[in-house]
Amino acid sequence: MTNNPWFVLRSQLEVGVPGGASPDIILGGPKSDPNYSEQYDTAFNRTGKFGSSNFVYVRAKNTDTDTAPGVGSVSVFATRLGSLQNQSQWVKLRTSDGRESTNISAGPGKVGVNGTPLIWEAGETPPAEAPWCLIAEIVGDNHPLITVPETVKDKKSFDAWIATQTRMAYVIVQTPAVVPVQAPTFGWQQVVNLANNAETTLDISLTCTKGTAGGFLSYVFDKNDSSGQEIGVGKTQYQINTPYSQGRKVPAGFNSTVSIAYTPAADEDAEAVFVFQVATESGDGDDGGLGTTTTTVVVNYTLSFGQVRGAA
Amino acid sequence: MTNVTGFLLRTSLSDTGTLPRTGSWTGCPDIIPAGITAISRNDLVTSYGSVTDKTLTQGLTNYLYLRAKNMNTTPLTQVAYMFQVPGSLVLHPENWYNVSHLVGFDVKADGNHDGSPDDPKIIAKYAQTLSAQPGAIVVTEAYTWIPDSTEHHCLVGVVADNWQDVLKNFKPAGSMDDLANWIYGNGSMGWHNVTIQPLTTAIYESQIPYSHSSQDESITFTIVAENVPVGAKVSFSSNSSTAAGAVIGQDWTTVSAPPNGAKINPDFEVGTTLTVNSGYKTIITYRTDFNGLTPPANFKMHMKATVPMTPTPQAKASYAASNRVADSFEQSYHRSHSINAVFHGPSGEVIGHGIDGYSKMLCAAAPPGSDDGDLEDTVVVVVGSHTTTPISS
Repeated sequence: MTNNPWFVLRSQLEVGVPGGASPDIILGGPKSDPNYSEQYDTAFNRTGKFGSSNFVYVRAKNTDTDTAPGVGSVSVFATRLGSLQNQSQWVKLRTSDGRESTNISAGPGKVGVNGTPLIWEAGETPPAEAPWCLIAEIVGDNHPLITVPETVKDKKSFDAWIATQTRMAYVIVQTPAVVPVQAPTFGWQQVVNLANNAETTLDISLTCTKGTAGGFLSYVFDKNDSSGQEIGVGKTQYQINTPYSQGRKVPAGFNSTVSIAYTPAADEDAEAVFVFQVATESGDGDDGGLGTTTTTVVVNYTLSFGQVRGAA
Repeated sequence: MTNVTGFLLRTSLSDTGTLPRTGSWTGCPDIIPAGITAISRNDLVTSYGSVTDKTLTQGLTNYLYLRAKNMNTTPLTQVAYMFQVPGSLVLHPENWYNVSHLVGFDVKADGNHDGSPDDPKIIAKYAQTLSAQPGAIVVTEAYTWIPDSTEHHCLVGVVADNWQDVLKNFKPAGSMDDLANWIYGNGSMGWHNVTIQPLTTAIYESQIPYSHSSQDESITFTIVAENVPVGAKVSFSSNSSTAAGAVIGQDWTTVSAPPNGAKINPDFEVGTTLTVNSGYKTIITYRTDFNGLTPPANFKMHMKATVPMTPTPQAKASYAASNRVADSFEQSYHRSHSINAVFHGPSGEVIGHGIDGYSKMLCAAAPPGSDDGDLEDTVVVVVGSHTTTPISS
């Protein structure tokens, strides 16, 4: 790392803030906001828009006392929190015209922001335990690319190392607050009595064959399988014509009540048709590849749930 | 100017087969990088007027297709090859035809094999035969390629009687212009630059062959993931289409919590059902993307195929949604208030039957003081038997 004063990226605004809180990586709109440079000590948006494009801006203060403006090249990388230390897994963002970096410039003591945003196409909202991170790096004459040292093995050591860097910083992208969906849940119960004389393997499936998009299904039996494990599928956002199944061994005399539930995406007009089946497995023609298991369907229900809102 | 008389691989969507072609030549729309999800042959034929260009992923099985149109006035049968060419070999087509650069398509090896590297159950073949009537558009089965780096690569496709006939028209030690002219002048060749992204999360991938020897049947293919973190994703794809043109596949599906709400789901299974023709053979690639989460040590995954051998019994309870769509408010009202309708409170307790239960349920579900006991504008339509129970969320 060079000690020459130049563009500086901050790891945090306040001492004591955990790693991944750089205020200098900003998720903004399609055009840069002059406030980014004018309000240097303000933290702007760090919340991602998942499922759409995010426009990433990087601001940095030129600490050089030279009279000439500093010019640097900004790159931004996306990676998951668990891969911070693996630089080879960082995905480089591009501008809308395909460039892998964009320029930043500022006079001595001034704050600069890249004019052309780097675009991050965020996929679906990540699990809370594995958020996305954006890492910014500024390079230029006498300020080469930065390599994460091999001694960095995990987030803790990455945080310790990056805190010593002035041209690289990162931010953990926040996920939008979940808006609770107030939707009713429709349920149905039925006794499944196999009257089986010996332990048998069941294939249980619940399939939405027709329905309003975005709904959820679930089912659970009130008796466990032969290993004592609960049989069921938790609340799952369904795809049409996709069986959500369980293959389990159950003891002789299996007699259990299954509860099935449907929750629309919202408390609006909704309908969904489900097919619930229980089958017993009876053979596998395995030839070293994927064998076809034969089954006998012993329970078959077609269920329609829904609600229709009346006129006010 | 002449016209292509064999199979045409277009340089762009506006390429109609007039030789020599002009313009951009590095984005052939008939070399189709599909990424890690297979595409049905039917869809690729019907999408002839559009470009499919997915990013490939390092370290995973990516699906690639060649699509060609028979420009001849007679039926045509030729051989299709695909090459993956790193930047250093772009000007050396004489080096492409080897196992390092030919893109294979996976098939089950004949006989019994133990699956070891020396005795694989799945082998790669390189030539695929394309046959088409005059003017018809045909698509290969999926070539599969696992890039070992994110280095820029080009895909080259050719449909010809043999590769050597194509190669002899290339000017050795030529320039990029010579290369472009070679492509421009050969309508049965295409070139497509691809983007390869690194893996940013742990993804486990396996393959298994499947063959169906009995009659056409409806089969359910299911991926079973055991001890998988909630929030991970599973998917599977076949590398060939059924006679009807469909692929066996389930797009990425997020693992939900088990009924008890645990963070590790001991048994998550999701599948797809389709009709498989007699004689169908394929290789199914199945995956779990841990989505940034840590794979548990006891995680396992496998595929399952099931077929019902007895006629499915008639549904024991069938309530047609279409009837409800055409339902009258009066019928709905009476059914909702039937004595057979059981209503539950917010905690699941039974709070009454029929109209009495319905009224109590509305009161129980409403915030304190917000309900005056009158019927509000929301109509809950209860559909089903006596055990169909609206439960407050």
